[in-house]
Amino acid sequence: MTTAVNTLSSLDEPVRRRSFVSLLFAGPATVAGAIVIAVVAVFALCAPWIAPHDPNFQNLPAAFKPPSWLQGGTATYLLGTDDLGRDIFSRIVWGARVAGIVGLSGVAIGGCIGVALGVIAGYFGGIVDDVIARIADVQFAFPAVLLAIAVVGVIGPSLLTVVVTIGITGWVQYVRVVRAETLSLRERDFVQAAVATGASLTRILLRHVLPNVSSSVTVLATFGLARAIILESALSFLALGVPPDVPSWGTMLADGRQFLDTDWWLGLFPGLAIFVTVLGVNLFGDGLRDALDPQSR
Amino acid sequence: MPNRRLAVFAAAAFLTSAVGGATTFLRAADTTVTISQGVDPVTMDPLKRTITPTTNVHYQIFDTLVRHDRDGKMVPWVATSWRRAAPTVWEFKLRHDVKFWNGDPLTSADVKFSVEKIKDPAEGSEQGPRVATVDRIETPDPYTIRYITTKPTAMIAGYPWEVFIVDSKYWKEHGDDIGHSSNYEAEHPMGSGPFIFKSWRKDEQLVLDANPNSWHGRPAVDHVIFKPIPEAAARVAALRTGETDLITNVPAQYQLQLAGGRNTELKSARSVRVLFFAFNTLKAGPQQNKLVRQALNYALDVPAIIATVLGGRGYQVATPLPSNFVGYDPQIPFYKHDLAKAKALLAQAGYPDGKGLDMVINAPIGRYNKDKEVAEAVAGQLSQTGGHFTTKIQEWTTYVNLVSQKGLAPAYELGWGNDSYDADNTLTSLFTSDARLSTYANPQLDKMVVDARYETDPKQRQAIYDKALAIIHEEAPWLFLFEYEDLYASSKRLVWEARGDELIYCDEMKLQ
Amino acid sequence: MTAFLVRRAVGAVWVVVGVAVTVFLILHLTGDPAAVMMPPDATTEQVAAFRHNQGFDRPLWVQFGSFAWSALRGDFGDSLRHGEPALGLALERAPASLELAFSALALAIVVAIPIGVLAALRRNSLLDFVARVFALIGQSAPVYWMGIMLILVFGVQLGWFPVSGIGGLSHLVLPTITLGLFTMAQLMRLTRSSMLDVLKSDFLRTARAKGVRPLALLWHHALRNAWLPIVTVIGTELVALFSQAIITETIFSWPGVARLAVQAIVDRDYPIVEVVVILAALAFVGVNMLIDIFYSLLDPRIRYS
Repeated sequence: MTTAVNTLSSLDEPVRRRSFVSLLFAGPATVAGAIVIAVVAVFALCAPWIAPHDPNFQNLPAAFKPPSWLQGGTATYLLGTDDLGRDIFSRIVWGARVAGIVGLSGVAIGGCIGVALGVIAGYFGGIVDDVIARIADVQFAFPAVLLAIAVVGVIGPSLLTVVVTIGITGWVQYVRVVRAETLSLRERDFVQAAVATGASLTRILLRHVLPNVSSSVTVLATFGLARAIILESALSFLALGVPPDVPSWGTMLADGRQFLDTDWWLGLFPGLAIFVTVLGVNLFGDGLRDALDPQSR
Repeated sequence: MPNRRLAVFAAAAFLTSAVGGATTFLRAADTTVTISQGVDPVTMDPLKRTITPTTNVHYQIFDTLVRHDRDGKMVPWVATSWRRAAPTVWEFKLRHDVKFWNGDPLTSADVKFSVEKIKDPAEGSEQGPRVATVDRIETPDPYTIRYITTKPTAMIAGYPWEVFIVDSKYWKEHGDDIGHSSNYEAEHPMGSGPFIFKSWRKDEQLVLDANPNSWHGRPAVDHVIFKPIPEAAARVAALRTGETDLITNVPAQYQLQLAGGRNTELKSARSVRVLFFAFNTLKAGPQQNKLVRQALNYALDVPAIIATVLGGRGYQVATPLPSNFVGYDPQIPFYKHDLAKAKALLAQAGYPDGKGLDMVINAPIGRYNKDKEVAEAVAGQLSQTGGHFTTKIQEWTTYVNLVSQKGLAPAYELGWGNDSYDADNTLTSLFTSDARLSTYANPQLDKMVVDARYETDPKQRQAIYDKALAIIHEEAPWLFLFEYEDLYASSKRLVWEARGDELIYCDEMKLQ
Repeated sequence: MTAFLVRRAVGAVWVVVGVAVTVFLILHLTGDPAAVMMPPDATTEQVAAFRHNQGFDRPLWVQFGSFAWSALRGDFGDSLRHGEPALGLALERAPASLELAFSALALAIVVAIPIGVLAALRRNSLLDFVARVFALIGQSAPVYWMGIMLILVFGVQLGWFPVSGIGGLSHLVLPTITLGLFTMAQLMRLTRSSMLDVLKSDFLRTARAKGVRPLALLWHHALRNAWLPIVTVIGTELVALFSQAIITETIFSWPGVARLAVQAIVDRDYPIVEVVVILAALAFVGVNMLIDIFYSLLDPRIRYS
């Protein structure tokens, strides 16, 4: 009886593990990560209703006010004001939007390019594989800074530029993993069976290959999100980030760094926001990976 | 008696050696001043670059014909006197006692060689514009030099006479002559200045020793070390720990901390650098309307920007010129902050309550002190007129490309630091129709600037500039902002005053 | 084995060529260095003359050709800013960067691997928890924030270490910690997880059942197998290390190559950017080749992939 099931199952696609959700949320760390992500998402989606002030409204006489619990601070500006009198708390709330947009779209672009190239390289092999591998190697050995300058030079600085840059610098990590998985999937019986029954190429790739690389890709994407947020702040450090009328944690940190030992709250809070968000995403990613592959626990 | 004479002799000998020993002991505590700028100098070839952190080193090891004092007046240096021998001839007399460190005497031939080298394409010098008015040089004798200019020029407190003088014999010996260049000079300078070049570990430290045989007298400081520290916070930290004695480009937010520090002092100087926003009147848009330009000037509250963004370290300007410049006119009024008047002018121009007014304010980042922050503040203030103002910030190299193509519109930020202390350089470079960086064209103004350049009577010259500045005020091709106050900080034991042209003369320093 | 090496070498050459072409294109298509290098009061003619003297007005493929030809002979041109040969300037500063990079890597390895091993051995203990938290912090904290904080606390307030420049051992401490933190965190997590994988595996249990002593077990079996992914990661971390070195060297005024490169990028000093990127690519490719060789020596199965 068991043998019959076994031979049959090699024709089946891998079965999704049940009780995935309970596995996922078993550890407190993962739960904490999920909570952080949820809070950031709420900030991002409900910014107009949560933020007490307009994040771009300048009030020069009120510049450099310390956080409300310190001497000199007021309750109007919960976390204080920056060098042009803008409310820091409001800017952090609105900054979640940018983090979300930049993170998600950057990862989406990088992921699409990387997965597509990885699947193609793994499935077709041969010269196609070689060429793609070469491009990936060159890209990998290339400092992200230069690429960023190139994109900014061509498109000009904007939110789009940052998203494109993050996408272009991030696709390589997907290629390797997806290629390896595609290679092994290609030999699996169910794929061979589909080929034998004359299924079209697109159907094979979309229906059989893609869904099975999705779990690794999801894990990679989660860490890619963390990487994207840090990269955005590094680009802002070099003045290649989003324009100043878009409040982003990266630009806030870059601007605030010159005040770190005099008016420390300008730089501390956005830095903390980045740190906590990235931490949360990393924790959740860890949990996700463990849940998808219990053997690594 | 022989014994007494011996005794006196012995006593004298003992005393002299004691005094000598005591002075050596006092001298033995070698005085060193460490200076930290934001960047390392790029070369020891003084005829190539114009950037201040590099030329600041050259000022210690090379001499020029004249120097500027703190008020911008020319004072004799290697040149003892000068006169206008003919309409196109300026004649300088040189000191006879100036020697290079290797003993070569400094003569007019060296001065001639230096200027010609700057004009030589093989040298690749950036200083070309500074000697552009000089047609040729005559050296009737070793201590007289005559500049023949292309047209009669006023004694512009300007550049041809501020060229660094190099040892022509030494340069020729090392393969550097008119028509061909070698890289030898980049790391092996031969100067005549108050300090001698000792060693240079790039990006790390550059060491100079006092020149005991300097014609100017031995400097009070024995050694000068230039140690570059790029990050402002790290520069301030290094001063506080005593790792350095003088730092430049101190951001305003450190002023309280450093002024009240245990062993630090704040020093400041009114800068020759002015920050402004130019309107690109050559491109179509609301900025071509004079009323709009004037209105926006009234909408600005410059004192508030100075107080908040610069920490009070700035002075509002009504004209493109700092107040100690030749050509400055104190009668020109400021555009005082008047939002009502701004709105009225805008309504007159066809933008009631700013409706329909949509402008991009362009600015660089990291080039001028608080450039990005000032741009943001300006856009914020202008928005109070009801119009829509956004900022577009770009990094410097992209930005400067666009500026030189006159491609930024309708308004863009620039700083101008003219260290000739004379109006001509500023007006010519920024307001004349054919200047590379000018986005304003007014033939009447063009003629005035040219006339003033070649006018030799100072009173007449000032009269022309008065008229020109009045036109500029009325036409408002700029958003007039401020001139900077440069901040420096030093350890308490350094006796030195800051200058507005960002130059540092170490032979004026003392340690207490 | 030789065939494998030759294939890798050919691949490496392609990478370096690809990098060289890409950096050349990027630099030349995004700006005019003449306008940047000349002072603001230069006239259009003077800028054009400068541009002509430096050969920037020749067609792009001509410029690349002459660049490639000279580069192969070791001549990358003179730095536009310094007026001296670019290769010389870069090589002058390489030792300082290598010193910092090696000490950061050494610190990361020396701290991360033992802790990773211990954390794996004592899973879910307090040590494990603290180590994992520390690793997560290291991976999430921005480099320059870390650097400035270290300067303020240990340099200015406590006065334990100098805050700028290169010098003796004390100058090395703060920059090394700043640069090594991220890699330390990565390595620790990786060591821990690959140790865990090995500890679970059957062959280890067999060895234990056969009575091999615990310490020997640890060294000969567990660690030897856990090495491989660690060494791979070190190879790939080098590129990330370069970007972090840019920030670290700037903050600590460390006279290294990364700092030179940043200034050159800002100035559009083509020769220097080109030479630094190509040298970095060579180093990266070279290190990875060494790792591949090391890999294949350790595990014969890999040679035939």
